[in-house]
Amino acid sequence: MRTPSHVVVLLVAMVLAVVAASWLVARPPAIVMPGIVTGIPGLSAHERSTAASDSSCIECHGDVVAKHRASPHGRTLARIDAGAATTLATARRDDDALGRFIERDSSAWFEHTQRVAPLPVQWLFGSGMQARTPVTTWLDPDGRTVMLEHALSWYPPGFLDATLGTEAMQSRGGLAACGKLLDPETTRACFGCHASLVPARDGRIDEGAVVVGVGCVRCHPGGHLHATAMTRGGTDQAAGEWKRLSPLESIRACGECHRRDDQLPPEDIRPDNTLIVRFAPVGLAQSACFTRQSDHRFDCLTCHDPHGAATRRAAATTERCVGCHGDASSSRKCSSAPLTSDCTTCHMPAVEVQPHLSFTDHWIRIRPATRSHPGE
Amino acid sequence: MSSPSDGGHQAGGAGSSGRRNWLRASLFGLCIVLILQPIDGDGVWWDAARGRAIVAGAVAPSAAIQAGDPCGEADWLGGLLWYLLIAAGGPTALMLVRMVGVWCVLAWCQRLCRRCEDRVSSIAGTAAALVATSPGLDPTSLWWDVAGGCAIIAWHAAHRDAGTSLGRRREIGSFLVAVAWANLGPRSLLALAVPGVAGGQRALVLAGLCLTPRGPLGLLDSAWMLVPPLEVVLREGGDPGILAGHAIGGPAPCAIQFAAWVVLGSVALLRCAYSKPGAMPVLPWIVLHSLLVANPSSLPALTPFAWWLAVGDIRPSTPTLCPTGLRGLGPPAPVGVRGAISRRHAAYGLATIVAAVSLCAATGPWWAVPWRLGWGLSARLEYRQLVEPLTQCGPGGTAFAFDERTAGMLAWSQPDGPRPWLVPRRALIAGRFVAEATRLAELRAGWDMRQPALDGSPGGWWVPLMSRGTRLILIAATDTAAIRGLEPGIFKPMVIDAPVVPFARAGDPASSPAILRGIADRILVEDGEWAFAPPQPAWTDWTLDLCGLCTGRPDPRPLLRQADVLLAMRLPRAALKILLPMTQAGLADGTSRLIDATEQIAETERLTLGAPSIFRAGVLERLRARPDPESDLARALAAIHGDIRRGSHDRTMIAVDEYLARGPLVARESLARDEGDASWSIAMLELEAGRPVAARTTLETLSTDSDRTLAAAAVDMLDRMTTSEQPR
Repeated sequence: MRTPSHVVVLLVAMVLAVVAASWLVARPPAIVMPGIVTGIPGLSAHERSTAASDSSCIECHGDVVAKHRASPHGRTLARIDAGAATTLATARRDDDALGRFIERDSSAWFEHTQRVAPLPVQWLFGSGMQARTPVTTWLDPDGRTVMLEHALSWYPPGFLDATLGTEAMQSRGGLAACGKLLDPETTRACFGCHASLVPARDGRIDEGAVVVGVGCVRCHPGGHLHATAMTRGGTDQAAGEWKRLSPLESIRACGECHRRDDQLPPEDIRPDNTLIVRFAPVGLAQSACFTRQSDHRFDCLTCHDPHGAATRRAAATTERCVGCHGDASSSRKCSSAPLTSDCTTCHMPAVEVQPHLSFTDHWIRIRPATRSHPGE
Repeated sequence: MSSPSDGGHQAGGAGSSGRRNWLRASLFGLCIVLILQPIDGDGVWWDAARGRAIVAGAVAPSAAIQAGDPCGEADWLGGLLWYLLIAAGGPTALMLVRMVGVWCVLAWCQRLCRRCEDRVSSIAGTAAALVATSPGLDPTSLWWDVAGGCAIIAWHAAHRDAGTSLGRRREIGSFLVAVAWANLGPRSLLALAVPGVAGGQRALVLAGLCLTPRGPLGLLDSAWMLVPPLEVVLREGGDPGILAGHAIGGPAPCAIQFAAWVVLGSVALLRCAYSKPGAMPVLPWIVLHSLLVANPSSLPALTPFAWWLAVGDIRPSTPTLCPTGLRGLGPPAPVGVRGAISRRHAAYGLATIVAAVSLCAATGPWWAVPWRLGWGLSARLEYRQLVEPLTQCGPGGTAFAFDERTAGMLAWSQPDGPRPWLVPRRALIAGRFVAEATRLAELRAGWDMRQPALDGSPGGWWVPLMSRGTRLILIAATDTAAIRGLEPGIFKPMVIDAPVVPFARAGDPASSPAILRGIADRILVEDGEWAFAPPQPAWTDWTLDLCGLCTGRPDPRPLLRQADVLLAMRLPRAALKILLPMTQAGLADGTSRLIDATEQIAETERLTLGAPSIFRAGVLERLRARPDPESDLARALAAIHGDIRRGSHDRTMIAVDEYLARGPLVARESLARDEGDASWSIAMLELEAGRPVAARTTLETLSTDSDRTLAAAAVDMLDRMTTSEQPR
């Protein structure tokens, strides 16, 4: 008897269904990054890139966007171009033991005696306010992006010196002598704090599509949805309003890049550990000014405007301090110095962690008034 | 087995009797093999912990043993029996459950098709049903779904056969079966799927399904188990990345189970097509396959229904048995027999196939049949290595353990310790599956800190996990992506050789001793005096590898898993210490893993020496490695491989062949110590052989080499070995 055709059709459909089920089971777990790797319905790669940039914000918030573009946050990552290559190649340094940068064909390369061939340099991490660290990327055998954080960094106004944390590189061989090797996960995390969009799949970063700099959506997630809603005449309020966060949530939000206090082992958080001075939110979270705040809100935004450069004017900082400690009858009044002096000299001194590199210690506390060394 | 009662293809004579005996013997053998499979269900410890919570007085046991669970549960009694069995007879008593399950499925099939004239089809269907349900017969919640499906179908069939009209007794029985199923198994909604049930009776079944602590919401829970929310799939733009890799409510089916399903489905279609021109079991057939695609883990639970359509005697004595109109059908014709295959050939062929499947299931693992003859619990369920480090963690906090196996081990072994957060099944019911699965995906990618997701949600696992007091992250040893993703972070492994790798936070005083031991173990296996030899087949108080005892060859799967863990932790020499002897002994084909480990070493050499050593390049050449063509390693290897093929490194290649055939100690004898590159390889081979003292001597000689790169690399390696040898 001839098999009915509809039986054949259903047989085929059944086999396909089973194959589909087995495929669902057998395929390896996908690394899903909502909205970044797989995209969201309706957004093309171009639209995704646009959404991550500030171009959707500039129409209504032009002043802030313009200011932010020039800020350190906006300039914290850059692709190497001819100008940057020249800057690296012509920067001064004390000795050649760590190698040297050269410019070739508008690109930057790094030469080292421990290595046969020069290394191409593709990225500069850092805004230049403190330093700019060259980075080389390549693909590991599994096709995932890894990077080398070079042992030489550029410091203002134009020095090359050891990158913080790479001082021991001189004794190492091969590529390891040139800097710190970072695995794919750490590589992605590094880019993640210096960029607004890091398209990556299976560990491979699409470097051409990286949206450099800490843009609007980096701190205001969902900003593109807000822009879309406002364009359509909606009443959607700003996405990611920071004033809705508690002070602790606020400094920890900054700490997602500048390091959160709950990210460090408790035994590392102590006053004599100078390694943590570069992690401002960590120090701030230990400060009495923060832990005992009551009627005045105190967090990173009390003193800093993240859309611009951190102020270096003592008067501006002191004005913030006086806001809480300025009452002559207050128990919080400073007993050692007049209120017109620079409070940070004693309570938030700059700590030099290595030549050319110092950080303001945000662990606000009472200590002897020395500029370079925190009190005991 | 009963003879056919009416006309058609009458069998007769010694030949027919002989064929029946062969068929019975093959089926009996299959049953024995399927009984003697170690318990391997992911939910064993989870359900046992739930049962223990019931005995302690909890009405919502899942909420009692895990954190973050806001819901009650319908199948609250599902673990009670398993806990009582363990309490009475220990974990090996659970094998009774499997034994009972296999025999019950066999008896159920044979009873319900006793009037089937086509013995070949009925035996084929029975064998297919046994294979398809086998993993579902482990003492987990899925067991109740299989039992419930068999029970509800048997109840309807029994009353139909007896000619009983729709009476009170039948209704009460259906109701009671529904109540029991709803309180024991998570897929009780299938009770409504029996064909030929009148509307009134379905309403009664529905009412029975609602008699659980969850009430009518239990129906929704059951529906989610059968058809996980499609919005999970649609959210990802059609990419089922979330569901893939997460076996919800049961193990992921293997190839042989799918093959058995295809058999059942094909028989159902062909049978009904031949039975009546134009008549098709369209609706139930389509529904079953749709449920399979929606959640493949439901395959064992769906099998009774698939079997019923395929081979069960669905001739109605009353109308409306099947809504698609299979009324008054004659006996089904044999499949494909007419004019194509003789009954004799079909019988012997079937017996051979069943015997072959039995042999594969006994001697595995094979690609399509990952089963192996044994007794007790599988190595994947061994949690006792975790007891000490987890006990040291002390009470308080939560643990991220997004699968029932790892969460179950924690909940069972540490009832007072950190509580696991939502397991996949509970997360699905609570509407948090996407969030938790995303956390796991972020762990795998090493995405810890929040970065903007363009759909408005924040990414990063750190903030969510810290906000709920996570002190432990438990990762299955097979989830090497997550192990690798956690490597550079603050969570460190406490144990490196267990089926589940527990990560604790560095800086947690309670976990620090275990973390330090884990670090010491890593150093030992990678650069220390640790050497590996293939173990004897497992024989412990919990596990008996019967196949291994008979053949003398241990189960390679735990060893391969261990090698995968070591590779994920970037300990390639340790992995090679396991893989090379295994491959040389023929226990398993570890070629792909050998390539991964060697590529890791070659890449490290490229970074430290400027190029991979010729020895490692030669190993990759022999193994036909294909690293990513855009990687620097691939470019570096291309040049060396060209030289090798031109015969420039014959002596090294002799060493490579010795290495692959006889191990590192023999291979190093073939390398020239007076060549820098070869000396480096000798040192690495000595480390790989578990001889750090000899390696140190070689490296000290290299440290004065005229090649500055090589000398610096040797000094660097010596420093690393010295640091690791210092007492902690």
